[in-house]
Amino acid sequence: MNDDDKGRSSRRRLIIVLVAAAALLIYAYAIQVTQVDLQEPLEPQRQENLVGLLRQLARPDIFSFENVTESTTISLQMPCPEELRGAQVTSGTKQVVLAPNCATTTQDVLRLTGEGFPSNVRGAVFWRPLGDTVPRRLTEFRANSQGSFAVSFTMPDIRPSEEPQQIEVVELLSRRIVGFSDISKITFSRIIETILMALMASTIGTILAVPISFLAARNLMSDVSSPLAAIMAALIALPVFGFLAYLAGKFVLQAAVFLSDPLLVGVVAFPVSIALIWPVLRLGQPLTGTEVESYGSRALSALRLLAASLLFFLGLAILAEIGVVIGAWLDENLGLFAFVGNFIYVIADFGRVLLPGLMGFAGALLGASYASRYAQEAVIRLPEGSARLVTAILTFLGTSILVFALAYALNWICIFGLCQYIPQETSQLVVTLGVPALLVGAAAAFGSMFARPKRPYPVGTVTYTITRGSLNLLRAIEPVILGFVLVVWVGLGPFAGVMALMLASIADLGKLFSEQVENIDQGPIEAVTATGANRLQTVVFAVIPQIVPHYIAFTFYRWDINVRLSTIIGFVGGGGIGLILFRSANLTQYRQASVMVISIAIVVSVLDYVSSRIRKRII
Amino acid sequence: MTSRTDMVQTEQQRAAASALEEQKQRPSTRHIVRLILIAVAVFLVYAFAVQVTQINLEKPLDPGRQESLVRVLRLLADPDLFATNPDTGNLTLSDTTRVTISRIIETILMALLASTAGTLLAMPVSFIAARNLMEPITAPLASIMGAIVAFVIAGYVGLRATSLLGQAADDLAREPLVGLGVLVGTGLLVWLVRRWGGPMAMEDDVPTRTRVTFVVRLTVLVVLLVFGLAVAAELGMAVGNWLEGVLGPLGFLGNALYVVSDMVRLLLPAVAALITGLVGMSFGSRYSQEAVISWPGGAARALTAVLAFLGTAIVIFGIGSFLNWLYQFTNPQNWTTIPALIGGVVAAIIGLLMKPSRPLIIGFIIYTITRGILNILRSIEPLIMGIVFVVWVSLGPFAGIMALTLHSIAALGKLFSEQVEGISEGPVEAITATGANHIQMVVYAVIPQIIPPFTAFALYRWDINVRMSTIIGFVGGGGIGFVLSQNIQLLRYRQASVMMLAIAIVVAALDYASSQIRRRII
Repeated sequence: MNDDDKGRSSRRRLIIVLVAAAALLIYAYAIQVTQVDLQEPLEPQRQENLVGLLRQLARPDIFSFENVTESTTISLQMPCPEELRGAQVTSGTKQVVLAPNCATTTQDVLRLTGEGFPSNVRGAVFWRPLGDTVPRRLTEFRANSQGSFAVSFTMPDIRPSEEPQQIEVVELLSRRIVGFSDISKITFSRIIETILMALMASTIGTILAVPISFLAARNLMSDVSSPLAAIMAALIALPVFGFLAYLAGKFVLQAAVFLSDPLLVGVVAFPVSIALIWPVLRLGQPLTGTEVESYGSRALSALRLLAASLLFFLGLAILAEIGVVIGAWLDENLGLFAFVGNFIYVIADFGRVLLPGLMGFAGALLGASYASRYAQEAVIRLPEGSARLVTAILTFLGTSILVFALAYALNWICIFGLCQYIPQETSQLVVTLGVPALLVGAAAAFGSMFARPKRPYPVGTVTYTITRGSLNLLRAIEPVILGFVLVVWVGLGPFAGVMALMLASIADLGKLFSEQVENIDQGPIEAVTATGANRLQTVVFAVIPQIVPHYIAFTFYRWDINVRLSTIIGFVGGGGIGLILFRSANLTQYRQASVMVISIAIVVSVLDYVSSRIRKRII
Repeated sequence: MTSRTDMVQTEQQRAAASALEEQKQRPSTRHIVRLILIAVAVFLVYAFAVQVTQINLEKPLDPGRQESLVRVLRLLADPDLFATNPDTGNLTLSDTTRVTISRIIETILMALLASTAGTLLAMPVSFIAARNLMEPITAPLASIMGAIVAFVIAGYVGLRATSLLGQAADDLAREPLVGLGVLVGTGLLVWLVRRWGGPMAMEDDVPTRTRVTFVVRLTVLVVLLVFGLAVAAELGMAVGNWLEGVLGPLGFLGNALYVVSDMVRLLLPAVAALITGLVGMSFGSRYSQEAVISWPGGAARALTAVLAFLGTAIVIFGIGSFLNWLYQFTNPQNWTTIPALIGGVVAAIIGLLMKPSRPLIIGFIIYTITRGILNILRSIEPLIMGIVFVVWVSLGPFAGIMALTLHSIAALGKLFSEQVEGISEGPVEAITATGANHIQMVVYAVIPQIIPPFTAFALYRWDINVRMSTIIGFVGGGGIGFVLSQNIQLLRYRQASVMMLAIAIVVAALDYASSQIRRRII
């Protein structure tokens, strides 16, 4: 026992020594790799740079000034005559001496002295080059308490001329604030853009993250399982119904364009199409009836549902068409509130463009759910042998479709440059990708013959793992990097930033939300399930009420992060204040950058405070 | 009979309840108007946001743009991972992959150093920014002002003394062997001073003579330790330099020794000044508090006035000199001496008028100032700080580390202090009841409670720093971001793809590891 203890403690000591040695090595290596060394920051030149930068940052260019100045001009010869001379000008009490008053090369040092100036006055020396209207700043001066000064400078450029050129000595008597500087105004508009970018990204991100978070919640997904036949039937139905619904969407869109050609027709057609839904749904038997029904009546109600949803989408499409027209009109005529018109236009445009895709998505989901249900019923009801056969056929088709779709997608994106080795002509491509897909499908079907057809597979866990994995990968890439790619797509500007932040928000909130779903109280779920509710009803009545406060709190938390990130997403061209901050920092206009940094600090800390207050109140 | 009255009562209650219900059911018009106004405001805000952020489908659906997106995606899908060796025809890792690997290691190590330094520096800050620790700290005016005066004097003395010691160490350690001898000698002296005389702990009621010898011995000990440290730093630089040349592949050990010794050498005067300043401050505040409380009213008032004059003048002069350094005013004395004198006189008058022993909430003021600074620092992204540091220490990972460290201090300072605020009061009261002073209370009651959450937050910060260090290179802060942004700007998307892939894998893996560790800690 004692020996054992001793052995353990010595082993423990050894582990500690090893860990310490490893840490030492890692830190030593880190210092080497990251070039930490104090020579650079302590170098006088670098310290001077830093001091210069800090002094400029300390003078933010917030206000615009009106300068009250007085100037004295003195003449300058270019190039120098044979005999070097100086020039002297006296005006009032002031006396200015320039010696020599000429320059032949840009290396010639000219010395300017002044006397009798107001004490401690600041000023600058300008040169009005021959032929230029804009004076060039040569140097600055500051008089001492006796009102005299002396500065030396060189000419930046040589413009030879016969007659003398003019050097202007401008003294700054006083300056007063006349308003905000241009950079303040720009900063103000940009900071509003930044906040609104964060707002849009947070809103859209939250809306899209909610459905994803259910897919990524382990407790909801882990008990979702179904037999192989049901999974495969869903896989087959997904593209088939999706494509059909997409075509229907295209058709509905065309019909809507036709129906709303003169705007008035559209205004009439929209309520008519919505109103038509009601008789279709009310006609004949009620839609939600008992389970035992004849196939005929089932088919009839399915058709009625289809018609009703087509009418609904038609109404939506007409509304979108009307919205586009009205929005564009309002955009031109509302003046100050034109942005309302633009909003309506953009929303309607989104509705119009996304309608077929949305219908395709809905159709695919609906078709998949029906197909999986019927396949499951069939497999359970049919005798063992035919169930095996059905499973095998469905597996063959489903796997083939899946493999073909994956291969097609990988070929389209040209993963690892492999598409160079594949003929891209359509018919040949289908053969090249289709034959292996069919082979894989056949192999899968052969394999499925050996499994019990009723055995449930954990399709939920697979979905959970894939969703979580993609969220984690997406979360790992900073929105600033995503911004790079999105700028290529939607061009420089805030929209790219919004999209990058939105993607990052979806990934982040998807994970946070799903963790909340995983932590919910099981009581209400069991209670609702006990009433015979299905999965969707459980989520709506037992899960959602529990998670809404947390979701809102996390949304505010993400909004905080988005505000911070939107201040830097502009570094890669994503709009907002980062764009101009990066530019002025690159141009070493630190006084302008200072205004932006100050506004960022104020806005971010104020919004931080507000959102932390709101979060505290919610939870 | 009783049952009937009960029933009547229930009836009445029911009626009252239903009336209340009705009131609830019928929302007042004001409520409705408010809801409508809020809805309109939200609508307008979103409408304006859509306009300002230029969200529209024209650009993303533009065929040219879609084509360029597809082209970029295809290039990104074909990362430049491998290359065929032109001589042998073998498949090897491409140059991009090699660069990526070395850069991603640099990135991780940047995050490591920034997190370590940030955590270490955030800890003391977090105690100052914790409301529950700071709010009970109050002191009379004389004590506060005495602390300020003593801090400046002791700090200056410490700085001078350490500079002298450093100079002597520099002279002595020019020959490494001599330095080694001096180091050993110093160690021996330290041992002797420690052994000589009584124990090093001090009781409260000891004769003055013991006290004086104790203070003298302590001073000698500190001087010897500082001197030894300075000699050791000089030696470390020499040895590090030598090792770097000799150790070959392990040369980085020598470099690390050199850099750390260099840091010790350069920071020793400042740190020693800070420490002596703080010690002086604590003594100054304690003795002036005792004096004010035990002295008669008039003398206490006079002392308060004198200390208030000195302390305020020093503070204002310090702030004025800083502003003058920053802005280089035309008339510096208008910003330094004149306001310092005026402020000092005003403070002295206030000190004369005030009750000398009246406690002021100095702790709360320090807390507010610290929190405010942390909040402002936190709101500026490290990427923006990076711009400043690049100007100072030039392009490279060191600038990135400094930016990340500064931001980590601000972020961790806030998180840590919130943890300190959330500790259980029981141990604190127990330790305080034993008569422990403020520092002992923090050491024995607060620190044991906060180590696990501090570790968890440090790991969390390490996560964030890894992410941030992947992009700090965009402003020249080193790491993989530097090469990534170059590649993207040169439209070399295949190379950029390798780097993005590496970032995704490394960040996701470290994320997972740190979340597992955090789960185990809490």
